Amino acid sequence: MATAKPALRYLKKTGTTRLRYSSSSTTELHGYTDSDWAQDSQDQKLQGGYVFMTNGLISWQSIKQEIVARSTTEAEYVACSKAARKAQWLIQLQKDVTGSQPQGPTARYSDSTGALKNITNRASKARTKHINIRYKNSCDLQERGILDFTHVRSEDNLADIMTKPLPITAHQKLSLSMNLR
Amino acid sequence: MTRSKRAQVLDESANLAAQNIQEDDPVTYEEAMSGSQKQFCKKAMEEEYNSIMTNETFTLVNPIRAAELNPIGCIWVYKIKRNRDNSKRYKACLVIKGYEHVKGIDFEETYAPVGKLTTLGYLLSLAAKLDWKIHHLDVVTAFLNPKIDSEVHMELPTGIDWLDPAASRNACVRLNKALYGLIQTPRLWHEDMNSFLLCLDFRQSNADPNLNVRRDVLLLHYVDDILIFHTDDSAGEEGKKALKDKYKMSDLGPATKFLGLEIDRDEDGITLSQQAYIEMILRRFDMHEVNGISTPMNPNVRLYEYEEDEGYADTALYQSIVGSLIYAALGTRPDLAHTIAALSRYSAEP
Repeated sequence: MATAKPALRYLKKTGTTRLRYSSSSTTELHGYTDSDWAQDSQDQKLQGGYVFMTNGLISWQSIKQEIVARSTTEAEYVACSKAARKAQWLIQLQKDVTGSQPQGPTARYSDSTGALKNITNRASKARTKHINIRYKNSCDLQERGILDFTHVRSEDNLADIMTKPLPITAHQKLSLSMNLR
Repeated sequence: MTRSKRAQVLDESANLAAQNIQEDDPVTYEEAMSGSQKQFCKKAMEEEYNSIMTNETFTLVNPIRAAELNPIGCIWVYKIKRNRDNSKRYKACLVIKGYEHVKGIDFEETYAPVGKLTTLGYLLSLAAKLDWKIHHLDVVTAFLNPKIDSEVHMELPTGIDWLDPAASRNACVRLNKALYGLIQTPRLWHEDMNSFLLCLDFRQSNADPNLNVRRDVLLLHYVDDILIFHTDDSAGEEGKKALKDKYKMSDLGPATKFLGLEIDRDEDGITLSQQAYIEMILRRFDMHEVNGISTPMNPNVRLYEYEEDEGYADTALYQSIVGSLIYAALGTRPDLAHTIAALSRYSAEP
């Protein structure tokens, strides 16, 4: 029996929380991705997620991925690919609004060294060549200098909150880092 | 547009609609015409009928030709709006029964893009940084503006005998312009406004078709709600005036609420929240007096391991709670996004 009650009780405590766009911080676009084995799922599919920020949070998603990943590296790789597509859309939006290309690549962070290795230098081809071609857009965007995937420590990865339930301190810390207060 | 995207858009609009439901709105013509609200409802219907006639929304059709025309039915929809001071305002709206339509005969294309909340977030982010002003305009009876793209006949509205006795001799009406309820109306309205904005040199964004951009003015529109972002007051005023000259508008001043999201400004920037919506959800599900907790989901308990408790075995109730939470998770509460995704998986069998 699943219950939605804790979610409502959480809202009771945090109903006045707001997303804040701060006038004093940079509006440079940066994003985070993460993935995790869906804790409740019996089909071994992954819960992936991403968040994008400027001077506040502008885009986020928590999604169950459609493929069964064979390794955590592969899982992160697929999550990066989803987020890369969203990043491309955001870059287009930025271009439409400001009338100019963003200066330099948009930073994207992931906490998986394996996936990053695959994206940044297409390493270990033998182990990843089975990954569907449509998930390889992130490599392409990295090579063209549009996105720049870099490493972030797991505890600083804001997308962690999109993939699994967290203990109180971690939940509150990440909420604050997303400028949610 | 993919199926899942379409479903997502439908969900969003269903949720927006859900916010507007009020218990005491009369549901049928009969209900409106009996009881204490009768005179207010009658007056609202007269106002709506007059605005339709002034707008030349339809032409009356002579009874001789009626048989071959297959007119579509229509109904009156009533809504009691609350003003800020809590006084009531009655509105009546004539709605065509769009679901009786046949594709290819009564309509062709129906897709109308729905504004993305991400775009709103991004624009607010820049507005906070660059100190843009944000104004809110509301198009009055937006859907009655565009001309219709096919021949559609509609039955005479109920109450025509007292609304317009002379017209009641006719068999049906032929629509000249779009009407609420018609399947293609949202698309016709979007095209109408977009082509007008193009004439004013507002370029349509590639990323978001509901965003139009001109040097120093940006317009974000969601059906009949328009936000104007600008730095230069005269450019903003000029854009506003051009829109007001073309469409009937109410000027809501500096934006404070858009799509049910509350926009506030202070010395440190801009905030976006859904406090009123969340308060309403908590009351609706009778959770406004419980003790709060600090996380939306316990990391140590698997969802399906919860014991059945007080009435939550009810699938419909579970679905309606999750449905209400989706708009919060999509709107301003990323901290709930994962919980809602997880809960949604159990919608069929909680």
